[in-house]
Amino acid sequence: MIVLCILAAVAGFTGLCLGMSRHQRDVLGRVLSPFRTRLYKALGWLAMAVSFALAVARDGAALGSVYWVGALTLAALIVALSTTWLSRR
Amino acid sequence: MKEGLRQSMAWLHTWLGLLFGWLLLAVFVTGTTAYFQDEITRWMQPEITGERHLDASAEGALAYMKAHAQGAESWTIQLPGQRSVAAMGYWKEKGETFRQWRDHAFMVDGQGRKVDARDTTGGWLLYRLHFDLHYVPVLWGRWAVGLAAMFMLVAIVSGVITHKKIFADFFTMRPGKGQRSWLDAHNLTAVLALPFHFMITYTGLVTLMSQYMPWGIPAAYERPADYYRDHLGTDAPPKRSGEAAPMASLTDMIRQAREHWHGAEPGFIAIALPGDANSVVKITQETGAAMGTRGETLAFDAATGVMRRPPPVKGHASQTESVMVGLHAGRFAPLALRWLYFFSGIVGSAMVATGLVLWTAKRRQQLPDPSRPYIGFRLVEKLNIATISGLPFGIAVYFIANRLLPTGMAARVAWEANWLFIGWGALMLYVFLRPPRRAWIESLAVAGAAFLAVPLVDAATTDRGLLRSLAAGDLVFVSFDLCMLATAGLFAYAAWKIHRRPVAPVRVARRTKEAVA
Repeated sequence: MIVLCILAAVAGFTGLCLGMSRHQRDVLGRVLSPFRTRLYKALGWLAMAVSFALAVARDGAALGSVYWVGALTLAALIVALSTTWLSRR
Repeated sequence: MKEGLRQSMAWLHTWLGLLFGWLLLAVFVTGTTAYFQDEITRWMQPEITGERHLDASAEGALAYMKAHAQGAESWTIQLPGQRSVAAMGYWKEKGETFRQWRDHAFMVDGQGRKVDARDTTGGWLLYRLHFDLHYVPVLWGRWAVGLAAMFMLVAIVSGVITHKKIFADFFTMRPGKGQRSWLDAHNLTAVLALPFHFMITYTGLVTLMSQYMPWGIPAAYERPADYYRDHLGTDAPPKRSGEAAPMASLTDMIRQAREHWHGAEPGFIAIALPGDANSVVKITQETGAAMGTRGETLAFDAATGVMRRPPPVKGHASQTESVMVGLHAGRFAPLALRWLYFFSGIVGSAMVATGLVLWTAKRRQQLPDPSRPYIGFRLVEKLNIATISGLPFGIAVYFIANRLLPTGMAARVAWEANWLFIGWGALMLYVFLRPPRRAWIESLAVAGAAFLAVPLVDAATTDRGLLRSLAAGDLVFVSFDLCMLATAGLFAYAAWKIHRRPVAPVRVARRTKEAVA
C-alpha cells in the first residue's frame, strides 16, 4: 500500500512535470499543445489526490499524512532525477 | 523594493548558512542515524541474539538486581522497544549520582538471562551527539544546537524568499554546469523535502523548549516541580521507612499498566527504594506506542502492587507538544515510514552540504587568482571537506572501533567515542595539509574505504558477518551491512567523479597581465 502511495505520487509529479513546457522540451523533445499540457497537469493533480487518499485510507488521517509527506519527497526526487537523466540522453 | 528584500534575504541566508552550516551538517547526519538508533545498537552488541519478550526480561533483570543490589537506592529496567531484543538494568547506590549508572549496568536477553555483551553506547552516542554534542557540558551543547536550529529556521524562510523560481525550477537539475549545478542541487534537496525540513527544525526547537524558553513555567507555576508533575508525571521521591517489605509481582504490575493503556507496552521501569515498605514502582509507557506520547507514567506501591491514582489526562497544549516531539523523533514510525524519515534526513544532510559547497563554487569564479585564494576562502573550503568527508569517516571509525577494541578494556565506552573524534580529527588534519582538489578526492576515498571496511571487519571478528546474516535471514544485520556498502559506494563515486573532472582552467589572461606588470 505504501508502495502504491509512492507510485501514485510519482505518477502525480510526472504529470505536473510534463505540464511544464521546459520539461516537455527536455524529455519529449517537443512542446505539447495547450490542451495536452493542461490534461497532464490535471492528471498529475488527480494522481496526487489518489496518493493522499491511499495513505489516509490505510493509516488514518494522522499517520497517513505523515506517510504521504514522506512519500512526496521520495517521489519528487525520483521524478526530478529521472527528468535530468532523460534530458541528458 | 522587492529586489531589495530578496537581496537582503539572500545575504542573510548565505552568511547564516555558512556560519552554522558545519554544525547543522553534523546535527543532520547524526540525527538521521538516530532513526535507526536501536538497530545500530543491536549491530554494536553482536553477542545479543534471540527474540524480545518483555515480561521475561523484566523479571530476569529484577531477579539479577535482587541477587546483586540489595539496599540500593533505585533499580531501573530499560525494556527493549519494538525494534530491540535486550533489556538493560542498572542500579544506583546511596550517595551516587545518576551519571555513575554505567558502573552497575547489565544486559538481559529475551529469556531473562544476563548476557555479557560488549560495553558500548551504540546508536545512543550518535543520537546524543545530535543535540548534546560531545566533550562539552550537555547544556552548552544544547544551546549551540538550539541556536543553530533557530538560524536554520531563519535560513529556511530566507531561502524560500531568495529562491526566485520555486515552482518553475521544481524538477530542475542541470548536472555538469559548475555553480549552476550546485545551486540546482541545493534548491532541489531543499524544496522537495521542504515539509520535512521545516517540520524537523521547528519541532526540534520544541523538544528542548523548556531550556530555550523557560519563562512560561514560572509564569504559570509557583513551584517548577509542579509543572513537571503535571506534564511528565514525576512525583517527589519516596522517603525510606527502614521497614523491610518484599515486593509484589512485577509481572502483575506490568499487566495492570497494559490494561490501563489499552494494550500499549511499557518501556521503562524505575523502582525507588527497593525492598523498603515505602518502595514505589513506576512504569512508563513505551515511547513508540503512539505519535503523541512522551511515555505516560503509572506509579504502584511496590509492597502491595496496587496502582496509585493515575496522572491527569494531558491538556491540549501538552498534547500538542507531545505530538510535535513525536513527529520529530519518529519513535512511533513503522518500518516503511522510518525509511522515509531516514531518506528525508539524508536529503536534509545533502541540502546543508550542497549549500556549503555552493558558497565556495560561487566565489571561486570571482577569485583574482584561483590558484591562490584568500585565507577565508581556503578556510571555508577546507572546513567543508573536513566536515563532509570527515564526520562520516569518524562514524565509520566508531563502528570499526566497536569491533576491534578489546571487550574487557577499561573505559571502553569512552574510547569508542574517542575513536570517532580521532578519526574525524585525523582526516581534518590531513585535509588541511593537502591542496583542495586532492583533499576532496582523497578524503572521500578514505571515507568510502572506511565504510567498506565496516562489514569486512564485522565478518572477520564476529560470527554475524553479511553472508551468515543473509543465510540466517537477520534483516537488521543485513540492512546495516548493506547501508555501509551503499555509503561506501556513494563516497567512492563522489571521489571518482571529482577525479575524472578536468582541472579548472587557470585564468591565463590575468596571469600574463601580472607578469607584464
